[in-house]
Amino acid sequence: MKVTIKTYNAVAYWRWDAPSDDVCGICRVQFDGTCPNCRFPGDDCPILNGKCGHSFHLHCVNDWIQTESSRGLCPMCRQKFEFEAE
Amino acid sequence: MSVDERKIAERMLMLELKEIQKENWVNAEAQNGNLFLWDVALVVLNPTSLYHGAYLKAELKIPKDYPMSPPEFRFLRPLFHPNIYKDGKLCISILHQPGEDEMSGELASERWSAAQRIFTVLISILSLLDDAEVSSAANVDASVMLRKDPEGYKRIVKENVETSKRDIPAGFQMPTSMDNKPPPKEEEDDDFWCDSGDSDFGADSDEDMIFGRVFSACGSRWQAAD
Repeated sequence: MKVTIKTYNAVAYWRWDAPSDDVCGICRVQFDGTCPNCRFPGDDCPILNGKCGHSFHLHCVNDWIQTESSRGLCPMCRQKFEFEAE
Repeated sequence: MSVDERKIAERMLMLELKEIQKENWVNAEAQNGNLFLWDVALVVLNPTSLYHGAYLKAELKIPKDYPMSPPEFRFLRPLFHPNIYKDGKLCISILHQPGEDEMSGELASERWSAAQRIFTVLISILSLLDDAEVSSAANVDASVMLRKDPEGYKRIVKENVETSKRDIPAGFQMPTSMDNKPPPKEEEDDDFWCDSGDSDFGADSDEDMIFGRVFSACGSRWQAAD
């Protein structure tokens, strides 16, 4: 028997490399969702994994780091917030 | 202040208020639907607390850029307490911006951060009541009395507690026990409370760390004026 595929629909899903029930420590939204400023999850609203082991939405932690009082420290563990280069 | 910031804060506060309203040790409401101004009352349920049975009304002002900046908290009926100013404001490190008063001796780890919540603030305030920091007082009289005349101090606190009961709203059912237990600490991360490696101090006892550290360092530093 010979089958000819005429058409197909490809479906894929993605998720961040983070535990699925994990939420951003700043906005408390799941990492698979967006920071409160964004509408579409994905590359437009990435997550940032700190070297200290704490992850946040890039936009959330950016807002925090930009406040003078944060002194560049992770809001969870107060170590200097540094992240792994991809 | 951007519109976005305000919206973010509003969304978070709405969720937090809902969450907090499930707790029986606090009675919280947004003033006229304004999520940036809350009427709260702390109900002291712990039977071993000096403040057991108190209904402590307070006002919570939340900045538009929350959670980047801490809320302001003020007891409407000021309590006689070493770390409470006569205007009802509190001296407690969690309400301080991490950057301000460098000389206070407060550790950065005890200050406000974007990972803190109204919930954690209220818990810290409750634990400050029975765990006053006498060495740096917002109310020096209270601080002196707690050290020199603890019985007299207790009497005044009892009066404060009785007075506070006048604020219990008609029809409000005072919870009698801690039956709805506070939910487990949100941060399960093991090293959350650890001092960062570059900290020189912080070898304090672990006892005050049940709900996270409460540390207060305002007003005049206590001088041994015996």
